Amino acid sequence: MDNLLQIDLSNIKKGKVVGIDLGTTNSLVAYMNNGKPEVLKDEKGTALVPSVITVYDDEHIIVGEEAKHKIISETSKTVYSVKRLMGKSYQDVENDTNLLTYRLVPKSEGLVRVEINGKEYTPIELSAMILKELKKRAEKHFGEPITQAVITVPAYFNDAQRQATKDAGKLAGLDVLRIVNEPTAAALAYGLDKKQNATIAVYDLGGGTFDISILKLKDGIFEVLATNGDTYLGGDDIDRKIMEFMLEEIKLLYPDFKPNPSELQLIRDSAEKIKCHLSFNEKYILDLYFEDSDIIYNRNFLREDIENISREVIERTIQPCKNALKDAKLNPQELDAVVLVGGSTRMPLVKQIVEEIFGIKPYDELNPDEVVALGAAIQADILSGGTKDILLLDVNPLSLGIETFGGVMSVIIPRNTTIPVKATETYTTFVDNQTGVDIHVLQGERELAKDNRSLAKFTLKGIPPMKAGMPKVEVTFLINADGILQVSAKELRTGIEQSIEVKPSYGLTDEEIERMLRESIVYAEKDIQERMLIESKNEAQSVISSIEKVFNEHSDLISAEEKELITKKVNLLKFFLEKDDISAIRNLTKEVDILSRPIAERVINDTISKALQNKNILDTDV
Amino acid sequence: MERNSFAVDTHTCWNCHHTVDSGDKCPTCHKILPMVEDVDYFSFLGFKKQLNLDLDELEHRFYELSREYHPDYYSNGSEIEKEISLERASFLNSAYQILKDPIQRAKYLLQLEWGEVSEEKKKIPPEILMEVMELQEKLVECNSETDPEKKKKCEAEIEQIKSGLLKKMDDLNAQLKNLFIKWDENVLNNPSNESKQEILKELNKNLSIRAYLNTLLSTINK
Repeated sequence: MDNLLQIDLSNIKKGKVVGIDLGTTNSLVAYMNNGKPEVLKDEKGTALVPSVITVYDDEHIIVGEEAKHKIISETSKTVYSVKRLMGKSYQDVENDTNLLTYRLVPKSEGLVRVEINGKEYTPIELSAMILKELKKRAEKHFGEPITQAVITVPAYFNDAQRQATKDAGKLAGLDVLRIVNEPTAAALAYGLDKKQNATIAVYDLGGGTFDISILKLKDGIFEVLATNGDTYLGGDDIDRKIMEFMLEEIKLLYPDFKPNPSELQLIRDSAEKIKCHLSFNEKYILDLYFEDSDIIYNRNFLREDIENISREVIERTIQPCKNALKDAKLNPQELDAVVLVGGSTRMPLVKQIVEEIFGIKPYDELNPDEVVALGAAIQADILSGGTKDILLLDVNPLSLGIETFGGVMSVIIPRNTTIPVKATETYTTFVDNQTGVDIHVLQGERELAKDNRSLAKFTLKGIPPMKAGMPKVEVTFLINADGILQVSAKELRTGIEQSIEVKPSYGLTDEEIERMLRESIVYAEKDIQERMLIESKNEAQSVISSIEKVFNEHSDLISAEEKELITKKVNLLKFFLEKDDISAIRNLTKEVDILSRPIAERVINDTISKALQNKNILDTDV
Repeated sequence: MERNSFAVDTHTCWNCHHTVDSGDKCPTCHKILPMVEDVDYFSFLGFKKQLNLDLDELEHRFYELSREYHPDYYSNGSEIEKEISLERASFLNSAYQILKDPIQRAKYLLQLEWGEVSEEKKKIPPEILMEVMELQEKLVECNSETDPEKKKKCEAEIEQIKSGLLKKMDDLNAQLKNLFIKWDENVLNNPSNESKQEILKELNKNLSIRAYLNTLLSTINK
């Protein structure tokens, strides 16, 4: 890595490319300074900008520390944890509204919206406000316009969430050169520091999301072997648990206590303070006074208390870690290090659980708040031509596919495939003269289409009328280096082409991708059974329709006895098809198939002899 | 298989219009060149159509070519360069994915030699027909059995069938290893070798039995 300092002069004119960690709780900017990544600090020496926004009106917006102080006084105007809303519908986040102190527009279609001063804002716009503030800080620091950036996202973000982040950058006036996965960025910073070949795991537990990535570091190549996670799991959930605990306790003392939004915010604020304090101390003395309700709540919290409350949340990280190891085909012993990233990894209980999962003491010497931004700065440097010694090879976190006959998802690009990647599949029509083919793009790990996230639906139109099975529709999936998907379809016989950018339908239920993967393990059994039933039914249908066709077209070749026997079996089979009885369907299908085999042979022989008599028949038999 | 979508003249460079060969960079201006049609995964990574691959060497070449083609290094390039880099990097990633796995590699080789191999999953390979029948009967029997004592016995029998299947899988693995060696010894440097079609047939048979065995095993594991 000797050439790290080499800078291509042609790029200097374009200005600096910064790295941005757009976090749930805090955001920050980093840049390359003489070949070393550095975080950008303000005059007070602070790098972290709280991801909190107070909106008075469109001209008067405060972002950061100052907005954080307004949380209690300007509760309805102040928004936090926007990242958790990215790419989500109202239904997706509905269950969390009870403890939220700002207002979501209920039952809205598409992307969820926040209502401030009677005006609706999308999470994309709100994120853009944070990005604008970061941009402003960077411009002040460098004394020049900043127009290009690399922004990080949780590795387990789906297509909708990545697209939303890119759009937020655009809204803030930034050309987003690349969306980089947070754990991968952290690995870059770690690897640059260590300069050694190793296999590592990055355990990233932030304010709102959890990622686990396993990487192979070899001579400057950072190859992601597998990634897994939960985009709705983080410090926020621990705070929420503590809040719920406190609320319950207060209600035991004062059953009539109904906190107003600013009192709720006070509880939320204290919950976070208690958690952070107890990461480094054994005891916290809480003394709260709710002015409006005139209620006093004081209590001593021990570290143990908080650990008991938060254990359930932290233990939800175990399964994703195991899944990632399995996908990487590695045993925990084969890892050289487990690197901790994200503010929540400061909790001693998190370190303890990580050690239990991987059997090694985790590496906690990086600043868990800064390392992701530092990695983003390194990636920004690579993209602006700064260094050619380092290369990130990242993967897509979730399988991508398409709905096929019977509602089954057919995977086109499996999860953990190195990106960019392109894959094609060929499909055809089922009915004669069918002029359109529906393409339903899916993301997830479940067997059936309905259980996965629907990314997009489109119809390839204008296929010239042909016999069923004649058209060949080639569907191409391209995942670029940002992990964003593009799908195109082409009818090969006519060359009719359709290309779509996948603009996801947010209006789904609260089907989360992480839930999908979790459930894919829980439901695997049910899924396989359902799939087997569908396949058996399809097979039975095709056996029935072919024997019925033979009955109609070649009745001269079949004896009455044969016909009676087979018809009896077919009727029985039809009966069980209604009943969804898989073993009866299978057995009867086999029986009908065996019984009709001699007839099929006769039909073939007959066709051949007719063909020999009359060569014209071959012309129609394409 | 993927093809490049560039309607460009493959004999001259898109940038400097000098004559180019089949390499990935223009010999004159050193710009990245579009992929040539009909390149296969093996040749793209500098291998012959071989079944035994040194995985360290494969990884090494994958990393080397990634350094040449990855879109990260063309971020400041022209739209054409970006598109070519995306095309090459995508192809490279697919090639690595397939070649590093011996089963996928063998399937891919078959596909190269024979064209699209028809889906044979519906047809039960005669070699394991007996086991399939026996297993299906047992599964039905087990599912409908209510007496716990008999059910236990039934499940033990399924376990036995399973270990028989696992043994078959071991045999298949050993056979596949032999086929790999046979192919590389006889066909690799002599594509017109008379044993070629025989080996491919054996390979195809091995792969389809394997696929069926895997389905059976996953059925047993529920």
